[in-house]
Amino acid sequence: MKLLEGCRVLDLGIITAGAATAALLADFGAEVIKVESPTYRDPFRAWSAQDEPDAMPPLFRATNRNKRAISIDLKRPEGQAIFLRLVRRADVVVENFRRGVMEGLGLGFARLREANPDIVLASISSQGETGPDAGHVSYGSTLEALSGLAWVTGYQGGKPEVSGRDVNYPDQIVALFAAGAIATALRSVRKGEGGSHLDLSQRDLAAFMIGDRFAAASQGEIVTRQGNAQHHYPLQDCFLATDGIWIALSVPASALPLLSDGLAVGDSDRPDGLRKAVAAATAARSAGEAVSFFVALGVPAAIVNDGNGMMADWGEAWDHALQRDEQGLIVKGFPLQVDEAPLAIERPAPQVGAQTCAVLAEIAGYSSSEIADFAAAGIIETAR
Amino acid sequence: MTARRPYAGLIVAEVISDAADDALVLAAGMTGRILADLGADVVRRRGRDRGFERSTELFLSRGKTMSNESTGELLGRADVALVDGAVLRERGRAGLPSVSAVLSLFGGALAESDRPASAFTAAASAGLLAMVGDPQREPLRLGGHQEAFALGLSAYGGVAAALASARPHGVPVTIRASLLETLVWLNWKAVPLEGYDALPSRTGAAAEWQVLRCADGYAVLVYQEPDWPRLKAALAEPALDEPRFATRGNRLDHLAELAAVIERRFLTLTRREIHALARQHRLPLGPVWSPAEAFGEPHNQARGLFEPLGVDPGVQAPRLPLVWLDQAPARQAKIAVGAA
Repeated sequence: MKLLEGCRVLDLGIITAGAATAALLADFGAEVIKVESPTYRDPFRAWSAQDEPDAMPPLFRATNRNKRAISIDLKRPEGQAIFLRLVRRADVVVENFRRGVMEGLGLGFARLREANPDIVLASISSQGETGPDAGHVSYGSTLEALSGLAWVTGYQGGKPEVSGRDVNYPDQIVALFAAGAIATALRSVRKGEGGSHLDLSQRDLAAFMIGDRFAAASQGEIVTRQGNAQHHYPLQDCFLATDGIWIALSVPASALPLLSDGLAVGDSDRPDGLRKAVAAATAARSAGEAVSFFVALGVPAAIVNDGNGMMADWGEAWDHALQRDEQGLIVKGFPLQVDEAPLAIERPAPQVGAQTCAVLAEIAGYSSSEIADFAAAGIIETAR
Repeated sequence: MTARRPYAGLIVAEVISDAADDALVLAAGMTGRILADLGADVVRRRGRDRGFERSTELFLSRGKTMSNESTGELLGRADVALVDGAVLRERGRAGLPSVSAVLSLFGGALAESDRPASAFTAAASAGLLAMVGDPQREPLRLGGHQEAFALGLSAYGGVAAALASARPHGVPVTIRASLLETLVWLNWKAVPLEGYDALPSRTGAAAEWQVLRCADGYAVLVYQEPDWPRLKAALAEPALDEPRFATRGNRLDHLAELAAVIERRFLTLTRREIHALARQHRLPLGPVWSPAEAFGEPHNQARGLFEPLGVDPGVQAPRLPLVWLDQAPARQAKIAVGAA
């Protein structure tokens, strides 16, 4: 039995933050039903670099595997009624729309709670449900700037930096935290404490992830950028090997004597001397040879991988963070595993409305003729 | 808006062996910190001095107690354990609580290895370092302890799922959370996906999203293609109408020049003015606040983001980023909570 087996999630999540949160719940065994509309798709369905018009975009496919999909027009009262009937038979609703959209649809928490007092509504947003910036449009790197994370990221003496468009770090970490928060709220429901509306702000989370920097700042410490250095490592940085590849190196205090001997550095307390010796030793070797050299001296070292390097390490240094679907294409895997209830990809990402008929019949209890009428009226959309 | 404490009554043991890398101590510290904020009685086994900054210790230890008990005694009375592979090997699975998270640096074939590694080298292996900074300079890590804390979030997710499970009480759940698996999962868009000709990497001054100087500090330039007309209108910079920026293709070919033009305009604006423009034109631009400045930000204050870390009310940090809004009234428990 999987950890969240028996739990049903209505997934209004889009792009990464919401959709990846629901995907994690699906990986833990929840039945996740992606809810789209005849007039509104998850924008990831349109973000493609491929020429084939019918191909499912890789970003969508990667983030929505293990889900079922339905399509209901939530702007119409009939569509809202269908959705609320599903809410009665669900445990969780996940959404990351612009603030106010759920209320605008008449599907705010009060209405969901009327339908099901035990429902958990997880609202994942850029800046939270409240506060003067709640309605401010922002993407992940905007939140790195506002939260303080960008301030502490950057070369020593240089300008602040963000993770950028291709990482969009706050969007990724919020899915990890939100999935946990939803599971926590489910435990609360199981304890008889009733449903709840969770306000999950990416800006708050990004600030929490540098919580110790805030603690330092509150005590008057000057908090700024340190490049790759970290307090508890006498030396930590990237160095260029002779083949033009960077390696990353962390020198713990415990490794200083052996490393200093290995590099013939006389005084290990002189960080400049050690840095120069490490740079020279790296520059005299290929990246692979340099990593082996330092690791043999007990010093953590690794090649700075690009995407191809990551793939080359698949199976050796990691194995489940990415997976391949039935067609052999890469999809998101799992950040963790569970020995007794392994996470697995059990179904590919669905086409729009692929299970509308089945879900409305099996879960909402509509008859075939009612479903046909909804479809004829354009209230629902079924798979083509 | 009272915060719920669904883990009240649960004892969580944080036991990372002295031989384990610092990243695992920080990660378990983050997981334990979250569980403590949600009501658990989190007990840390006193280990060797890691040399962390005092602020890091303060942040991670909030709401926890420290114990001099033996590992066996502490694990024996805990409902949940956060351990590393060495503790698992020493105690055996039967010597751990029913819900246990085993933290490691590597996954895959190296999961059990003691190969030297750190959060920084894991970020290198996971491709994250290659994504940040200037291509003419060394790859760059994200600030603070992002890698270890992300592993902490990952382990929290697993523990929370186990504690929400309808599985019968006492049935073991062993969560395996590795630093490298978590970081690869976060950096999933860096691998070669079909249809994308070039692998993403750090592009520095030619990045579409980047931090630029402004009149009183820094602001971040962030936008998607549909935002472009509003960005032009907001900045009212004639150079943005030049043919070299006319189409998305043109702009991609001249990204460094585009950023330079926008920075020139930003340098005439303060961060507050950029923030106001962004709100007025519905643009995702944002000022870069330092932590010291963020304490006074009206949005953070309105959300009650900061709280004292301990007895000294002057030592503050962000609260748990989970706000319980409207809640349904409590009812009688319908079923026994499963694991632990």
